[in-house]
Amino acid sequence: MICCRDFIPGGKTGAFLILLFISSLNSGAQVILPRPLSQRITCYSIDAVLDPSEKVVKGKMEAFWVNSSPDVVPDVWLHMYLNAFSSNQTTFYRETGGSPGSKIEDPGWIKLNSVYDGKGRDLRDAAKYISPDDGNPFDRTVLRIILPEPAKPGDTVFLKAEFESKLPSVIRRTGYADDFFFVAQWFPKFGVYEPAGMRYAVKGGWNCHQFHSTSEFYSNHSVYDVNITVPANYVVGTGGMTLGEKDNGDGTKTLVTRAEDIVDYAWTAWPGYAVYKDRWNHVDITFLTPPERKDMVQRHLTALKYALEYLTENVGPFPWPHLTFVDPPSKGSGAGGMEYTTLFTTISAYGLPEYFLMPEMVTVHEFGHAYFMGILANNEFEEPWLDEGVNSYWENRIMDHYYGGAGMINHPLIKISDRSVARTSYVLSPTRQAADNSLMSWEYPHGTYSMLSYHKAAVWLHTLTGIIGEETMNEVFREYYREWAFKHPSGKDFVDVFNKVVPAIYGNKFGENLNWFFKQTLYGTGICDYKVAGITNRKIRDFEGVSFENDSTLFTKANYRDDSLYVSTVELQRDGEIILPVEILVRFDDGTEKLEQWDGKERVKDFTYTGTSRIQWVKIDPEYKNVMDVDYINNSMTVKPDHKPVRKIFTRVATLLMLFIDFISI
Amino acid sequence: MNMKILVNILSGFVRSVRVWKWIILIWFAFLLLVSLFTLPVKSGINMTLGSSMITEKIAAGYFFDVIANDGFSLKTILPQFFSGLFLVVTVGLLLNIFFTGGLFNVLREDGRRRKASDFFGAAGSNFWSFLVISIITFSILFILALIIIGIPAAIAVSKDSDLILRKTITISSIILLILIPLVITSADYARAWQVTSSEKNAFKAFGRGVKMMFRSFLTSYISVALILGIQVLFMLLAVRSLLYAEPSKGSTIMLMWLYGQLLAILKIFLRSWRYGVVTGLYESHF
Repeated sequence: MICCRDFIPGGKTGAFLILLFISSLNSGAQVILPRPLSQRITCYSIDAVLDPSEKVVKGKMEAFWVNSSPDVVPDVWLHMYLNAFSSNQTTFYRETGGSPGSKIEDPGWIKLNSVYDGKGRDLRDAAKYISPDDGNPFDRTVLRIILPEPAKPGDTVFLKAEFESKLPSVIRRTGYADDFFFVAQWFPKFGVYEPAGMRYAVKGGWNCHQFHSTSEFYSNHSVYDVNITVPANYVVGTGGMTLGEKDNGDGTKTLVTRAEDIVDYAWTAWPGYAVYKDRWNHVDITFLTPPERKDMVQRHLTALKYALEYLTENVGPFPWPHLTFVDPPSKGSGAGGMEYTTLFTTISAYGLPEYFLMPEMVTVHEFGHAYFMGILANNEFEEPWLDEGVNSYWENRIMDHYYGGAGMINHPLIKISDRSVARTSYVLSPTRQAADNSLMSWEYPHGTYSMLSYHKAAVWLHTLTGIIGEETMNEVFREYYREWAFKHPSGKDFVDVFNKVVPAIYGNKFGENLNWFFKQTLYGTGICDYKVAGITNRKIRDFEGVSFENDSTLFTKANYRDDSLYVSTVELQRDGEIILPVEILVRFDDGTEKLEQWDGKERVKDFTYTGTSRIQWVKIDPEYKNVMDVDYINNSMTVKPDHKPVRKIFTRVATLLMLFIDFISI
Repeated sequence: MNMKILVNILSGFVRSVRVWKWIILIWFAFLLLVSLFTLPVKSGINMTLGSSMITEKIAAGYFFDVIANDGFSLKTILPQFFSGLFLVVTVGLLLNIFFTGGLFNVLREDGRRRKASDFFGAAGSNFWSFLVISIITFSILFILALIIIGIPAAIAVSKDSDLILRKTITISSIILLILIPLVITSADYARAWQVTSSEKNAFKAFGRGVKMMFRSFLTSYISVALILGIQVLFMLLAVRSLLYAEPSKGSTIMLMWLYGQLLAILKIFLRSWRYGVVTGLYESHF
């Protein structure tokens, strides 16, 4: 724990003012958690008032940032996210080509009406918008404030500001729709100061990217004390724990909330919410949803509890005692599917059939972000795969584990596993080799961001699971959690955990480290395709009357042996660039099976057997563990193809088509 | 009234049984048509899958894992599948319009024995008129659906309540379901009149159909609505039984095929039954 008194700069007057400041920020107090989970180098205290008619949130904020680096830092950088929706010249707009809000007449913006430092000095003249990523002079999503005195190592920089946030019509999971509000990315927020050696930083500096079309967040774990004033009839959900609520007597009410050690604070307000409460172990769950979706409530709650259980068991504990999630009404559906650690949004609709598990999938996915970028707070701007891909991997596992191996559609007639959805997105994409996973989120070419950062990453993680085993994978993630929870891991740190845990379990079975795997998948663009090229079963023959004429051999007669020995060969091929160890299962016509291991390196590989039985079929990767393989069809071959399943389908199709044509013929 | 309806329905049933040969002919024509589409697609897929054992995934219901492969070019197969499907449905509809002319003719009871020349002669001579009657009927049904379901649903969407939308669509659908037999009865009367008339005028026929439907409103509406109800129920049961049948052996797949074809014949019979009822009503009233 870092005590705020350690950072008091200036003389006695300054110290007194700052002590007042600290007491108001209350960052050191343990209200929710028994002990701080993070360094808490940033803290925020905000009084927010929602004006529903103007769609504006007026805020008074007191916040601090502790210079925990060894550097002398001359400035602070703040995210001003809502300005991404302020005009059609912002970087966000240029990247998406959309309107500033979902409606062109509804832009969003944030402005600072005043900003002072801890000593009461006006900092407005020292504040300037910058565009560190693309130099776009019209982008106002990053604000740089030059400090009156540079912050020395250990100093605390205080800011006191009044701001106004105009919400756009719902876009990118923030904004309003009629009387529905989802208030996210709404306050001035510190970037992350990275000293040399932290992640990839070679020298100290602020890591504070502009708002891009495909980027999300990177923040310090913070304490948030947020008081929210809304009309009295509004139902409010927040990322914090509600400590109190008072009626202001003027038709409004104020909620006193606090959140500890989370990376972002968001809230929602709508008079129409129905509120459902539940509990899982130590976690009080609050679910806000339109009342007509009551049939969906249990589905969402069950999915959430599955995710809590699975991630707690296989990754690490969920530390907070509170969790709120929201199913926005249809008019605010643009706010669905987003994560703010202890508050997340899901999606659903009235009357969705139970076999269609999309609502559960979104709940599991968005909750999973509490771990992957909530607790393990990677830089989503720069390494989106590290939370989206990793989180998608866990979402796939959770959904397929709890929903009978068919975590997307589980119907007697058709089953789609959640893992298959990720694989399909990757395999069928024409741009699957357009880039590797080392790009910044906004650098992914040709709309490949989702496919590469979510699905390709999930696919290679599943493939790695197939190689090292599920329990080893769990152990890797448990170690990742132990080492990096409430810190800022990079992709390299993630790989290092694998390289530490896997050799500790397996020795050199997979080499000294797993860099060979990550080089090909995470940092590579190749594809993986192993195939069975052929099966031959040849009877061994004895030859009689062999003669030699002019150095050539002539066989005059071939006799089959009485014991009918066969030489059977399986011909395998590697068509892709990626080299992975694979298993081959060979079945003979006497019912025996042989499991072979192939390091997968050669372009062509034969397995030959001599015996009384012939090869009946062969399967590469019989359990479909190599999810990266872009063609499952050529992974197996049989001497007696079974086309009955196809026949069955077309028998159905033909009859249904005849019935359909007759039915629509009036 | 009840007795009259029952007699009409039974009379239609008997007429329909009497024309079984033509029902079999229609079924066979459809079997050929659909096979022209499904057999090549099936062969194409079998060729694509070759000697692969991925068919195990199909058998288990995991089609997605088969579609998502380099070796199975979904982008090539799907457009071919849907364009083929569109073509078969279109040709099927036209073929049905053609055969319907013949059916309405052979369902008549005027003491004459109907020959193949009667069936095909009526089918050919009434084709254009029946085509226009079908287009008019489809257009009316489409406009009714738009007015009764589309517009209220659009208004309900703006209310932003899933429940209001759901209720609106449910109520609108019930109203539409009540109105559908009116339109279809009119179309059936129109066609019953058209096969007996030497004047081939679809609009005039449809106008007469509407008039005749209102003249014997209750008897006509209830009779046709009942048979339409049976048709819908039959379709639901047939589709469900086909979808949930899980044959795994070659012989049981063949049984499923035979069962499916029996269903297809019965479905044509049910349609013919409705035509028979309306033809009977037309003959007794007009």
